[in-house]
Amino acid sequence: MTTSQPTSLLTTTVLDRLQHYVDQQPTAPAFTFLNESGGEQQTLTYDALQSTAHSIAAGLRAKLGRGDRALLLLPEGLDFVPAFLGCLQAGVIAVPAYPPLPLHSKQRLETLRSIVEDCRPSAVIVAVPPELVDALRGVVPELADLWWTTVAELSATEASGAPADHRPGPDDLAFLQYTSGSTALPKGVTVTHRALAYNEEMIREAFEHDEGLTGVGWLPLFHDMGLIGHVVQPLWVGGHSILMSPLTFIKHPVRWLRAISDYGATTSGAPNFAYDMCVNRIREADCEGLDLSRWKVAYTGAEPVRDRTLRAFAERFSAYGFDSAASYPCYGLAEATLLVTGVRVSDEPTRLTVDNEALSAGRVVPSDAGSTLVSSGVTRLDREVVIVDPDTGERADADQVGEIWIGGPGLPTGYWGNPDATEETFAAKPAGGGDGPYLRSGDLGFLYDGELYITGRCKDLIIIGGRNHYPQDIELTAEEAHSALRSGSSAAFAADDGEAERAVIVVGAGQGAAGRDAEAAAKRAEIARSVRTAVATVHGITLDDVVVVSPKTVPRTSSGKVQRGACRAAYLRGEYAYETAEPAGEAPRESTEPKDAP
Amino acid sequence: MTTKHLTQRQVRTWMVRRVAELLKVAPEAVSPQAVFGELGLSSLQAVQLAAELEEFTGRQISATVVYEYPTIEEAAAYAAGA
Repeated sequence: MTTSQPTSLLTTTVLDRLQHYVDQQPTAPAFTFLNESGGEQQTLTYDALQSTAHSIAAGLRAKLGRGDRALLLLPEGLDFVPAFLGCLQAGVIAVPAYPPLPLHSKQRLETLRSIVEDCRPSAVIVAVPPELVDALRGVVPELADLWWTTVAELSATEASGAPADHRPGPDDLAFLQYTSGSTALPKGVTVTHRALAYNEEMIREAFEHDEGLTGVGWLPLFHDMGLIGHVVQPLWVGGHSILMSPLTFIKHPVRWLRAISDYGATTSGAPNFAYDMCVNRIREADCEGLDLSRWKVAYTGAEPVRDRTLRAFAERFSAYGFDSAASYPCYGLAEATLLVTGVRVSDEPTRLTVDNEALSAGRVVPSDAGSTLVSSGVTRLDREVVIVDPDTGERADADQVGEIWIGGPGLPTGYWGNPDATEETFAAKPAGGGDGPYLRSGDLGFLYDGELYITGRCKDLIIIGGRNHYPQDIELTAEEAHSALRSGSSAAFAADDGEAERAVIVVGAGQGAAGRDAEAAAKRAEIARSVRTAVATVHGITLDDVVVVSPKTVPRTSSGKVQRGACRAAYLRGEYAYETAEPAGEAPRESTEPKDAP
Repeated sequence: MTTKHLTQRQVRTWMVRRVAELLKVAPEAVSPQAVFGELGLSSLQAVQLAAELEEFTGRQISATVVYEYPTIEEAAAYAAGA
């Protein structure tokens, strides 16, 4: 399982590892991209990848200085990989971002504009047709005057003699990861070379990777799991990464499993929803000849890991050689580069059934009946996890649920240009104890037998399809959707029934919508429709429940701020029940996930 | 994949029914002239619909069809090869 370590982990960067494998195995395939029908579209060997990355670095250095930012707007395809590496080799800070396509996705455009405002890039590297570039410049005015270039243009630059003349030090910034923060206030995690290297080594150890790694991935590459797991990890161990577009998977989930089978992939993973999609949407007829027996690490993270999903997936695909012990729950977040904990390869994931009542009171009491939680495993290297009482700020008792704090070396340094948020999140110290500083995850959990279990989160996040949605963004969209809705009187939250996370919004409405007569009910239905439509259009998600109430019944603090937690509790207690009764034909939706295969 | 000979009307009727099922609403509530986003279709559902449309018509349908042809009417015309 151990690969040779060319130099000490403290000074090795991913660029050193890449060069090591370019020397050792120049003609080995590093990346293969599959098209929408699952066919091979392009393969880059280690040698070809390095030479393209060098040219890109030379092209960037001609116009940019060290520490400048370059925005990467590269949808699917292999352009992303050499562009990212070229930035690192040029000492230019890479900023992977979601290409705002289609252009009428308002929220993606707003997010991109906020990111640009936050990190002030000097260049934009794109791989989209020229007419789309013009359209993009038109809709994102902040980007219009920057230097726009493409991988093709940059790699036409003659790489001058020696490879990269910039050898980054471990404390230099490698890239900014924007996955946190609301649309209006995005936060770019400052990932240094040290933090990147440390996490890659943790993943290597946790996943037991070596040069024999063949990975398959369809997660977006601008997303931390896609970038750290499917782009950098293969380079760190000298493996082969098979990539495809997220659309390929969502359109035909079987193509993911087909790629794993065809290439004999040993590691591949995705958030929980993807495993559900496989169970619900793949037909038996499409599975002929599927061989999943070489799949050793089927990791699942970025969303709560459901015992029910793990079992259903293993049961369904064991006929095709899938080993239930390959299921690999793990936990991580962009603020920690990525991985924090992971279970042990080739062991069945550990389950723990705990008493529900005690758990909702923040205590862990193992029980024969209750909620079955799946362990997220243990830390590797010198990574440390402690549980802190969110109320007192002190280290929690052994049987207590608390906020997960993360410590040890090799963590990202903070949020780009945001010392206040950096101080709050990256420099926490438990009350009454002198150790730290710790990274506050905002997630809730507990340690049992040394393994980490995630139970929820203290920050108000709604996670659907592996994407984080901030309630304030959804509330704003909802409040603008209908004239009866008042600003600052709605609460969006995730209601988790243990099976799935449901997106719910409670909106306070005037115009007689809160009455008990048929007219009021019709008004509520009309408002709910407008809210659903607006949220689907702007955020791309379907709300599971829209509850229209009198603004008076939305809980607030003494200063008038809406209390989402109290509102969720009231909703779960059924206090809004009469108001959810909608006229016939407006049945509440059960899920945002398309479950019903034709 | 065998291309089936379907009229625009057949494709439209099928799409209205399928969108109504995905959204768990009555087919009468789904207007063929409304923009997909306004109907409340999520981005994941939109891609799933493209895949099902491909199977229904026997034609290659892009995963982003609902963005290129933003109403059922337009997407049906495209998918029927009109």
